[in-house]
Amino acid sequence: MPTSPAPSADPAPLVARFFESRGWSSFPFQQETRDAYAAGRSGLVHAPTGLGKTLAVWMGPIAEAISSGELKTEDNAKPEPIRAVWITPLRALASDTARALSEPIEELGLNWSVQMRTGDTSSSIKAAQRKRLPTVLVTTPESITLLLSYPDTVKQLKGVRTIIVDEWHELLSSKRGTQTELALARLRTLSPGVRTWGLSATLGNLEEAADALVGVRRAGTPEPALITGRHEKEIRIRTIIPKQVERFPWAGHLGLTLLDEVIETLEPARTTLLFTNTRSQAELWHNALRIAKPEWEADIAIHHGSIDRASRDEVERRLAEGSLRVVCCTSSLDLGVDFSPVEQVLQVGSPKGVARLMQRAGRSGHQPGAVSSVWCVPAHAFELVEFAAAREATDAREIESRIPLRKPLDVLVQHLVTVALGGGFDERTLLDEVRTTHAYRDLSDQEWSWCLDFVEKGGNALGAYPQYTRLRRADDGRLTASSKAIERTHRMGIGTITSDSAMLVKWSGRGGTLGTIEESFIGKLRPGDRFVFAGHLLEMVRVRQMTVEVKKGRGKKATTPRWQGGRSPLSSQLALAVRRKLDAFRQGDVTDPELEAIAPLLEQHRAQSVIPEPNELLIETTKTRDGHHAFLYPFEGRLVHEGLGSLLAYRITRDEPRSIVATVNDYGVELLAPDPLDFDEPHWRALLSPNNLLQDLLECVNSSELARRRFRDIARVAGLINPGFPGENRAVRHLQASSELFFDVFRDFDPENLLLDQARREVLDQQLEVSRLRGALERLELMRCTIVGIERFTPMSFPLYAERLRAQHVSTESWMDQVRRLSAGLEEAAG
Amino acid sequence: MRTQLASQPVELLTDRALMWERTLFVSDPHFGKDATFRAAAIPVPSATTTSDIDRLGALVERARCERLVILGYFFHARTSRYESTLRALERLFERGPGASVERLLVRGNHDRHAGDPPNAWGFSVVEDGASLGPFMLRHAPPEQADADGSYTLCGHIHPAIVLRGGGTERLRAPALWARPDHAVLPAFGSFCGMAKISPTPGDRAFAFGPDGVADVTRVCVPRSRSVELAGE
Repeated sequence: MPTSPAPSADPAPLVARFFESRGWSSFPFQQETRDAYAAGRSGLVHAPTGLGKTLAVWMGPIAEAISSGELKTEDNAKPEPIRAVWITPLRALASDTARALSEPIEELGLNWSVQMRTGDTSSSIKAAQRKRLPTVLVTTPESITLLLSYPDTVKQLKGVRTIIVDEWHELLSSKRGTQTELALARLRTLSPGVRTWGLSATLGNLEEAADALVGVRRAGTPEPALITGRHEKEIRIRTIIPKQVERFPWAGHLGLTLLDEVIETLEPARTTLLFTNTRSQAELWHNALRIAKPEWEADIAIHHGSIDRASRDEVERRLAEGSLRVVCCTSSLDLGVDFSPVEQVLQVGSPKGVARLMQRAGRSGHQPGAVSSVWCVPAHAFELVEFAAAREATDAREIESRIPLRKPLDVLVQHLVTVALGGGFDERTLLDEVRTTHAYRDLSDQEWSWCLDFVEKGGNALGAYPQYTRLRRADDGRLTASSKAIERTHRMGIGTITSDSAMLVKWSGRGGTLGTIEESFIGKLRPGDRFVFAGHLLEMVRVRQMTVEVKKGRGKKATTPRWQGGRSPLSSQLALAVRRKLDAFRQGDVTDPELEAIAPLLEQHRAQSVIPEPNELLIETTKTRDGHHAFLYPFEGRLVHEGLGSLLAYRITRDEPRSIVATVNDYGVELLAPDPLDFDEPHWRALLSPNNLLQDLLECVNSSELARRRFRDIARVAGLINPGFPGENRAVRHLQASSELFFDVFRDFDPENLLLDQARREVLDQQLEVSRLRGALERLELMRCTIVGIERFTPMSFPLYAERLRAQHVSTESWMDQVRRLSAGLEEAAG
Repeated sequence: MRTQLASQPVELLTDRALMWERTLFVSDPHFGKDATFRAAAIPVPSATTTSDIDRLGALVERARCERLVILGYFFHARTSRYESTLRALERLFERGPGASVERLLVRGNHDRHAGDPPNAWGFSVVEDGASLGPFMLRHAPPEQADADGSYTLCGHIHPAIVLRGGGTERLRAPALWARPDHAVLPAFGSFCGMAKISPTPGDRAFAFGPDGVADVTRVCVPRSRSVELAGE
């Protein structure tokens, strides 16, 4: 129904009145953002959390609405059609965002409606939205992609004037980010005048982040505006120093031993967020605090991504009202609205990056005049150095970059089917559109036709995929979905870029959901086993399809689930800062309390070996019952070391069939072999040479399990595997196959399949970080090399030794030899 | 490799097959599984099946067997009867090496749904429990030992063993699981998943790899206490 044109109003006084009414004065950056928006520009606003970023980008569209006369009147019953899409990476943020966006709309009397659409939205609302979208849609990358798969919503989306992507830094370097880039390109085609704005935390590569957001610009489009938010307040980083630093800094060894000191720190503060790096750690600390301080029982809560939405909402509500003393949480509380009662933040374990520490610290100190205060709790002794380094890097604002992904073909394949469902496409037009994204800007014609072939014919291997079709070519050449069944499975699969196979945890008998847990953990439990989850001690009753039924457990002994993806590698910024701190110590500078505390350990290391200078590569060698060890310390972070370890192992085993175990942590690499590794300096230098790096790494990736494991995600995103969803039946039985099996049959029967190629590329780029590795090797080339034979493990080598369970294995033996060796090893271990 | 089952000398062949006297046993070929997937818009290369058919032909020829026994799951599903698959199987069983041997299919529950091979291919189709020399033939492992004490050869579960080394080293391989009263053959099909087995004392396990078959009993099967004592 057309609305009667209301008199257009000058928005400035209205907007100013709104600010006044809320007791806010408009900051210069907010004004700048509004002006840029009004001038028709897209852009990126970066500032720490909660400092008026939302308002800054929202006032532009609001002002536009006022001047277009979209005000509520007597005779316009229906709200305006879709005008703005707000994309948030976390469903959890959607409701807070919707509330914040509604405030000025109501206050100013706009004829706009605001609704959410996420995985949590009920199907009746979803159905109503397909008929008519709200004026403002708050949604996630997955849900907007889903909307692009329905012809009726695609038509409506032509009216969009504004797209805003919240927390863009969170999406930027992930496949969800690529999915968002493709959706944005689609929306820009549908509504050519649309402006795209992003909100981001501070990053090392803001310009690239803005480019990825707005895509490749058409000629004549202005550059994206980069707007810096209000400067953040002071950040105070302190460390809880253990009274006795253990002799050996195992990973995770100090763990709960600092419980008493942590409780002391918690006492004086009204509300504390205790951040851990993994969900298991959050459960562990939550449980320990409840046992140690029973009188706090009602005021301690837990919050992480696997806990049921309703319980998390409750925790957030109580946080906001200030009725909680401690919340043990993970990155699930990194983002979102600020809770002003939070006085301090505790960070258990290394934050692994400068940006993350700043982000978490920023969650505290929102009271007037307060500073952001974070206490670091070391999980092992060497983290003391990391904390001192993190403080220095934070003060210098050495913030990490997040690199957007380059043309992941699995995401593109998924997108092709999405667009086909949403009304079909002409391949030439869509190629041009896809190439406007940052991710696929240099997509080759050959890659494009492979992707088309993949969805139309299965692949370009001649005759390999008879009878197969996902997309069908209509008479006019447009591609559309070939059946209703394909539409259904495809829509089910869209949300799977992130989800691992998760199982629902439910109370047995009385029902009620506690959250989700990974299948791999539940697989290890038997009925009657106890485990800690969502802050409860639970006993497993039974597993039914994708649901785990539990009841309250008794007793104290229980296991804590391990979720995947808990360990993030040290960023290069922080790695560099650690090296600087070590060198400061070497030169006698122990002004940091952390360094003073760890001094005995470093002295012990100096007595056994050497503390490397910044331009010195230390190699320690020794022999134990396990074999011959060589430890190298490039201090480049876990990812680079993983690549380095695989490379060295491959180069050593290349000449003669043998087997080497490479173990890495953030500081170095351990190589373990049955025969001596007592190479001289020229030999090590040859092994560490950057020459032939790519070729050797590829060989190495091919001969190892790395690419095969990487294929798990790819197979899912590309729609090879239909995941079972929590509470739903698994995919039809005769259509079940594992990603490993797919990898094997492609490798054996369609080796040119580009998804295999992508798996290798992902291993090289993301897992082994080949460009960082090349940089590291080039640095090592210029370094002095010091080889020290050690009698016993040093404080630096011991953690690597303790890390062995996660070691990479490189072997050039035949299958029979490998079986023989493994059999022999196992018998020895058993015997 | 040569070993014994039910006191009979047998040979385990790298191609995931078992040879006893002049009889060749394979299990779970799942012919045409690729076509079933493709029909559901999941791209699986057709060579998974055609190479299995070629492999079976070569195996029959090389083994110079007089009889071929397939222990169930001939076709993967109804949609597996794809034209080129049928033609390749037809070549094998009507004119190729498969035509000159006696052919026996043990019909498993899936085969009832997917359908038997056409008559022209010359298979005698038998139900679970048929006997052949000292062996009883079934598709799935028996729930309890047969009263007459005969030894069962079967398939169905696609057994696999896993060997672990230091760190993340992990080797997974299809296996033959020899139990006191029955033996489970590995799946012959190339596009088949596997299930890790948990042998108990008294069992034996053999792993099938690209360059041989290995007896992995000592590392995959826990030793019973009495055996340990005897060893000391």
